[in-house]
Amino acid sequence: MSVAIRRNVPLVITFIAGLLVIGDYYFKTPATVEFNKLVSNWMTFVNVASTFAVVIGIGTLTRIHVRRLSQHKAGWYNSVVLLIALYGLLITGLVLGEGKFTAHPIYTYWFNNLYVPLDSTIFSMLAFYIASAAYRAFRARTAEATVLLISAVVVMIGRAPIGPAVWSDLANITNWIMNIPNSAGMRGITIGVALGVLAMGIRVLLGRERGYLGPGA
Amino acid sequence: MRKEQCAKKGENENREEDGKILPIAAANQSAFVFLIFVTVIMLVTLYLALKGLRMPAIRKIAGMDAIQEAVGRATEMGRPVHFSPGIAGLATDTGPQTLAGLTVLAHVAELTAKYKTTLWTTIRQAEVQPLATEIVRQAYMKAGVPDDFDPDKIIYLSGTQFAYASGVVGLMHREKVAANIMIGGFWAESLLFAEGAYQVGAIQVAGTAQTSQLPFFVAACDYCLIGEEILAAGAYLSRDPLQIGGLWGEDYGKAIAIILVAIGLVLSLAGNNILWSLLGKLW
Repeated sequence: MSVAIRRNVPLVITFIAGLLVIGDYYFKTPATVEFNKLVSNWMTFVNVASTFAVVIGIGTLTRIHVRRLSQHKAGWYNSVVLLIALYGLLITGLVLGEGKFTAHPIYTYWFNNLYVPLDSTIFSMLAFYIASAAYRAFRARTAEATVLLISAVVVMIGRAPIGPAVWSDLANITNWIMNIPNSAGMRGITIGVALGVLAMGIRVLLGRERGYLGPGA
Repeated sequence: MRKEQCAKKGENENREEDGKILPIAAANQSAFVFLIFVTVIMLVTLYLALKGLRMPAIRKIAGMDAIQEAVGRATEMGRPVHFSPGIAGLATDTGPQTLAGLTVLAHVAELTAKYKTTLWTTIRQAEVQPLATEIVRQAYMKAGVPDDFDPDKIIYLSGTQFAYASGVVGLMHREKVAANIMIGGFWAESLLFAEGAYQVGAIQVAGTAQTSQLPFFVAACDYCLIGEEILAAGAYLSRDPLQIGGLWGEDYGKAIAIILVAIGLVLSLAGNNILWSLLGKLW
């Protein structure tokens, strides 16, 4: 395949697909039914194609861990656990559960008693990480950091039950900080992001933004 | 049957009270006009940049410049670099953030290839894996060291958010990464990554357009790209006049938004809601 084809075909597909999706978003009338249907089918195709990418991902993961296992690299036993969990659950759901994964009791048992607690454990670590990150961020080294420290302490105390219990107006101050300066800042960023996405979309549609195709594309 | 459902959906969205069917749903009309207007402005600025009639300067983005410093530090320490393009899927409204992340990945991979530093790229969305692999492969080829490319270093960890997060944090600790670069769409896992990398002493450059996660990155990372800065990565890194022209057009869009906010503020205070009404149905 020539370099020109390799470079231009993805750009043409991107341009056409982008226009189709934008058109479908804005135009939905009886006159555009066939067009809307075409885009709907296109999006289904994209989702199916994306799902096939999971096979590539699982293939990579399997290759890496089988290699770690065969070479007895440090922590190889973790690879054993990963492969058993990956393929054990896959076979249980796909073969024994006849494709209805959660219908099989073994799959449900593994999911509820292994996956769910582990997932919750990782999520709960956030509480400790927030404390350690806040400790570093809230040191009053500069004027801005001092403002951050004061407003964060007021919001934290105002949101905890003890704050309004000690001083009832603390809840109002907290709400003011969250609803006025905080919302204004967030909205400013959101407007900037929306325009940034629009600009990037135009660059991608015109084939000027090619970084996602690799360096030098 | 499907055709009827589609027609019914379209009619319901676009049908007015008197039964008239609009070509564009009332709620989208002002957005459509704004889209066309800003697009025209951007095309004009792109044209001006293409012809060299005017070339705007692009402001310095400290976080973007720090990437080279981060990779250089990892090289000096003889430890690897970790990169994450976030957890957003490509076919979602947060997909542009992932594309921006991949653009930065191309730059990071070029640097690591040049300095012969190990680069670990962790992936959550399966469809991003082939893209990321190809980008890193091309970067190593461009740097003239294709044999140094190792596809096993671009690793799909899991499609589930916290399984991916635990995989990333585990990798950071095992490999003792010296630099952690995270550009893309991040959610609750953002602080897990940032604190995980902090614990192993890594220099961190992070960026996202998720406003709810920005405070975490600002608090925990050395450099932070805020919102639209990550979307400007392609233009900033390539210095392509046409891409910079696009950013110039974006600035005009921002100016229009600021003017509209100011006018809306004054009109609202005066009890006039004409701008409100213009934000919906136009015809």
